[in-house]
Amino acid sequence: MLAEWAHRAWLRAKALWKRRQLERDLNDEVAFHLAMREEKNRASGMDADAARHATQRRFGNTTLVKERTLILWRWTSLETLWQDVRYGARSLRKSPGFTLVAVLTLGLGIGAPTAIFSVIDSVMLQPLPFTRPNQLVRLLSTKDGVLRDGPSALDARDYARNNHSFQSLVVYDHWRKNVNLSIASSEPEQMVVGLVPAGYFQTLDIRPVMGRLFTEEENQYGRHYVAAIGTNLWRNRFASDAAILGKQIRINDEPYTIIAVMPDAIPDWLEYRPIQLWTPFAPSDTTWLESSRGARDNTSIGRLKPGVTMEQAQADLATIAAGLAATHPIDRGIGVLLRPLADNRVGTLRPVLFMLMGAVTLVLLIACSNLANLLLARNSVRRRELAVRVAIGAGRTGLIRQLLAETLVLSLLGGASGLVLARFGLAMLAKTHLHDFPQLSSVGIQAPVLLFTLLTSLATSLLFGLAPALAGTRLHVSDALKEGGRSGSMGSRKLRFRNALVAAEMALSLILVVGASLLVQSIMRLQRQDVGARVDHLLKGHFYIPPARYPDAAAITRFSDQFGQRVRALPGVISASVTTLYPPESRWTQFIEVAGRPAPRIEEIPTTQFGVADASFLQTLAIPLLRGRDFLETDTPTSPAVALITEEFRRRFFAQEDPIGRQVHIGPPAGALGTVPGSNTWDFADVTIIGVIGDLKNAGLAAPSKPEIVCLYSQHPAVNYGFKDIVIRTAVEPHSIEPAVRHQLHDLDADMPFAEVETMDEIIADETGGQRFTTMLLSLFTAAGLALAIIGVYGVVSYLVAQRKQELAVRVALGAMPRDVLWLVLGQGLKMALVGVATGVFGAWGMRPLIGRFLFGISPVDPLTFAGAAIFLLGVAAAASAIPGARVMRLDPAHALRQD
Amino acid sequence: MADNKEQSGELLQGTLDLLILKCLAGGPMHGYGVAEWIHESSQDVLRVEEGALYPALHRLELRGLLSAEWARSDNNRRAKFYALTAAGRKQLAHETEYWRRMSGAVARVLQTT
Repeated sequence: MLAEWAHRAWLRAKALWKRRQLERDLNDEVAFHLAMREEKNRASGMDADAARHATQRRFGNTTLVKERTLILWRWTSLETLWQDVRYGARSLRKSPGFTLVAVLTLGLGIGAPTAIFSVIDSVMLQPLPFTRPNQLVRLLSTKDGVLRDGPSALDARDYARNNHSFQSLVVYDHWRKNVNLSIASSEPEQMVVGLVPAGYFQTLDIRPVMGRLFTEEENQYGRHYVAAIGTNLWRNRFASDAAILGKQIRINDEPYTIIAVMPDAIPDWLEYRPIQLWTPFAPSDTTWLESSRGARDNTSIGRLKPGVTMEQAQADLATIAAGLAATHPIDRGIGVLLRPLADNRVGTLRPVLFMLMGAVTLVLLIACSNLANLLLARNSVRRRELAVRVAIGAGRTGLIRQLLAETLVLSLLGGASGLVLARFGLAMLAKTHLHDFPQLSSVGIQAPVLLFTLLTSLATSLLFGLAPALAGTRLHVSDALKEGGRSGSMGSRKLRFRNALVAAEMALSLILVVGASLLVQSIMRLQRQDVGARVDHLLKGHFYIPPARYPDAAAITRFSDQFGQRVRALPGVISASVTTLYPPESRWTQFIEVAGRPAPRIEEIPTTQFGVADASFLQTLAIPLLRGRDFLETDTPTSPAVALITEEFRRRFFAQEDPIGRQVHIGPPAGALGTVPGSNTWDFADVTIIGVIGDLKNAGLAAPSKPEIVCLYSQHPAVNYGFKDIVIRTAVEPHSIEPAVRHQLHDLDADMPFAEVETMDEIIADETGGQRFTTMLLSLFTAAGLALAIIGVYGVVSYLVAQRKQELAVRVALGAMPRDVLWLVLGQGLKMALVGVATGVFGAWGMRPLIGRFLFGISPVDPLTFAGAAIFLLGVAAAASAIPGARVMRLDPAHALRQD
Repeated sequence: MADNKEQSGELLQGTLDLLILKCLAGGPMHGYGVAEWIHESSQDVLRVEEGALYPALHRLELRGLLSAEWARSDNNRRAKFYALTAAGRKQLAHETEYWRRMSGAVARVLQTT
């Protein structure tokens, strides 16, 4: 049965394309028959004329036969549909106003989900751009089950050696470094350099475009002066030099030889920022010290063996981690967590996308309700036309089919305009938010998106075209025709349906308005967070003092002090400080031990945020000193080491006592790791607390402050690394002094780039970039939804007014005041709005888990926001009804009554 | 048109299909040949309006009971030849059996009283 149907469908489908061939064949076939018969007739003695006539008589009506035969090959339902669609398109062309509004409505409604879906498609559904991407995983460390950073190099080495699940497992890193792309260049710049073993590229299955991968030998410290560059860098900065291999560049003032050009196959999201330069991982000797086992700041990726599942690999590594925890004290409580590499691509966008998908669904629903409303109005205006068609014999099914076909045309047009809208929107999105979400660079409209849009359009036309079509064709022909010239009035049931649709639009809009205003308030609160320092007129820049020319801590201190002094002397500069920490984030963590309170076990040693600065730190950032004293010029490398602690530090460690004058040990307690004291840089100092300062935001804007301790870099040679920032308090526009600062740095060292220059305002804006992205989109969608809802209210109220024109005219003629008439109309709009708003409040309340996670400092059911949104929507509804209402007030009763 | 109808003989739709299948059981044949065969083998009792043959042939082709191919006829003209497919053969057996039972039953009914 099915096979027969399929066979027929196939033959018919073929015939659809070969319509002409089919007709020609049939003509030939019949002609052959007629010729044969005629020949036979003549052979039996007839003359030519008689033979032809006899043949025709015997064959019957040739045209009819052909027609009956051809019709068998037609795809009847499809062709009827095509006819209906053409008819629908024609009738839409006749009412361009309606068509435009409907298509734009649908364009907005479908465009928004299309845009969000294409983001979901590209960051979640499309396969990663690597060979067999499902085998790729990222390896992370947990402490007591809580996610920490990557693994330490030592742990990763042990995982790589002992597992049974991975083809390869590599640990790597990336660092900001000073780069001179030519050995003689004096245009230093800062770039992020990937420190990777050859296995990094092998794991990702990326082969050089030119040259070779790093060798195992080059991965040894001291032999590592080779570099690979990305194609982009090669093209733009080396003019695609064919003889690039063997050329030298300088990284941190050491010469490196370029040995490979790599394809641009590593997407920016993989390492969270674009990397175009790689050197071997080349761990230094200290990397393999037991104390470095705790340095969990590396990155790791691996490729599973074929057939090994994530769960199996996870279990495999967990066993190894348990073994490490048992034998290495510093690994106690440390676990391992595998994540598909694809998770990296979604990153923090996942919840955002789900929330936005919810929001655009609401927009789509509003658009659809509007469409249904428009169609209802259109069908009731066309009552007479429809009735005439029924009267001359059109079946109801046929009419419904035709109305649906019209909706189908609308939906497809709407879908197409939605695609255009989505494309533009996505281009804007990618342009403005690439910095916050590098994964947006790959967003585009792919085949699944087209399918999604098509299905959405079809579903829209079916679901929301059906009810108006049913309502529009429920006709009593004689009644409809008897109504004379008047555009037919609507039954109360249809009216209720339209009112319900508008109420639904109001409800959905309320949910959107509540969500958007919660997010906006939340961002405002976030940006107004007190970071603990004065944020205006504050410039920050980064520089790196390379060990190649500044071999010891004294040289670094000298350079930093000099630079600080020169900047402080610049006109327009109030104060400046060379520092490693500034709000709102400080990522350097240290073990800490308060003198006299030894921690019994290594996993119980507390940690604190840590930073080193010069003596101008407090003054420059305008951080309040709560007790004790600030750093002084008399705190020198040779005087006792001193420290400032934040209020949170005091609360945590000196809740009951005065911290001033107390000693703390920074770094793990001597011997705790079973290593030779002094052999590692972590265990470096005892410091005396001299002052307590106000809390600094140091874990981002949204998180509470962690304890922080600030020391002088001049007093801690062991941690006086080349990485430094300078913060500058200015009297003038901060960016205006940037050239002068750069000039001072250049003057001190022509090869040192001044990088990542930003004002504190910009840093804080960056911190909220993700939230602003979410908020901007949700606000956009809300605006779209709201605009549609306004059109909905306006449309229905206008329609009602038009319907009741005579009645209202009679009222006016009998002496009703214009105000009363206006109220009558406003009342209609407000009634719908009230029902909608009441429903919407429940809806918004139900949405609280969805929106709650994006909020900061405001409850997802904030009563003020709810009330504000409700009043706002009622106002909007009143305004939308007031326009037709005003028209009524100007109504000339005599004119209106004479109209029919 | 009325005349044509009278001439066409009282041939039931299903009957024409059966006749076509039966004719083609003897080998591939074109439409004209099928018409001739029906006249000859029914000794001109079954008079088919020849045009009616074509919708029937095409319907059977669409149902997959016949396959069609253009080839040269005996007098070297291009003609569309129809042949039974496996499904057509099965259908023929099925319908022949049905027809036998039906005609037998009708004959029995007519014989009583």
